[in-house]
Amino acid sequence: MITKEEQKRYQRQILMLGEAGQERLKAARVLLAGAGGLGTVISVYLAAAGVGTLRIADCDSVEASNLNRQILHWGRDIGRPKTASAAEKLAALNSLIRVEEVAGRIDEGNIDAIAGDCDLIVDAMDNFPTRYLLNRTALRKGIPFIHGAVRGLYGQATTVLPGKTPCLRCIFPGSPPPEIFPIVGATCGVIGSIEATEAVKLLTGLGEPLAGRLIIWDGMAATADSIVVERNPACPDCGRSAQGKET
Amino acid sequence: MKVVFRTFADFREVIGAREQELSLPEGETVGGLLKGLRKGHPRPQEKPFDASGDVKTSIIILKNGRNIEFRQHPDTIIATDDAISVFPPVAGG
Repeated sequence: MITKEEQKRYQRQILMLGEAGQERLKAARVLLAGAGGLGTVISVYLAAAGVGTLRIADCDSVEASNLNRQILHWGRDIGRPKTASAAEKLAALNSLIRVEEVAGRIDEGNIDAIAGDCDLIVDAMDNFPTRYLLNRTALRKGIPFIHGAVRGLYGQATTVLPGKTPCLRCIFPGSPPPEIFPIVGATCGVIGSIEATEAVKLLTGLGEPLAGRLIIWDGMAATADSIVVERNPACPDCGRSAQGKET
Repeated sequence: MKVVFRTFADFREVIGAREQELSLPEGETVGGLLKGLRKGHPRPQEKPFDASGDVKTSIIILKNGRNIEFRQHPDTIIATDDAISVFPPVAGG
């Protein structure tokens, strides 16, 4: 049930979503994996939209070199856990939602507890091994997984719907070599906003998800392309052999 | 045979075209196609290529939307009307 305060606060989006859609956002639990460049953008929009429970996981503390892009972390936050820094600002932005902090590294041993009863997983990580773990978890739980990644002025995003679309491992079978990646903060704004849009759509049933397509944003040329992507029947995470392992 | 070749990000900067139709000999492989592009390009030292001028193995190549895992399968054969999409890995968050 939407309260009068919520009606007022979310008035401009209720025009689109209706009260029923707003109630779905309120009832939703979202795992946001990462509170860095992408995570801070995504969390601002999901908190502002009224997603009822935002569970934010990150193992790092704020560093000066984060501040060009991680918009919820400010100069005074250097040295603080990113989850605490983000949660404080999100609570100030919207006290009507619940922000849960998971300050620690996501791994095989804790992912089931962290993902728990979440309705979807949003990727804001900076490495593929953890992304593969999130992907496998979403596949196992049968919940959507929204992928995003950035580098320089380039970015990409896709939505994985288990059993219906290629999974992350179908599209990207191998981890790229690790690096300290170059990044302009606004690129995180573009890709983070796409991911947040996908989350709102999936939670409310609005529009067409970015499913079976990979968006590639090229900030150098100011162009966005969408490539149709296909499932890999031999995918170790969602292919026939993986299904055999699950059953 | 005609194929559609699409490039993104760094690759597009170097190749200079977003999408082009290429005419390739029957039986051409993805590895052969990329080698040919390197030969035709005046600056092979640029981003998608390694120091020896070969295409970096981390580059992502989709044939009709499916990743060919170039590292393992540069000998993947291209067929008429295939769409080959090439872009660099993007992993940051």
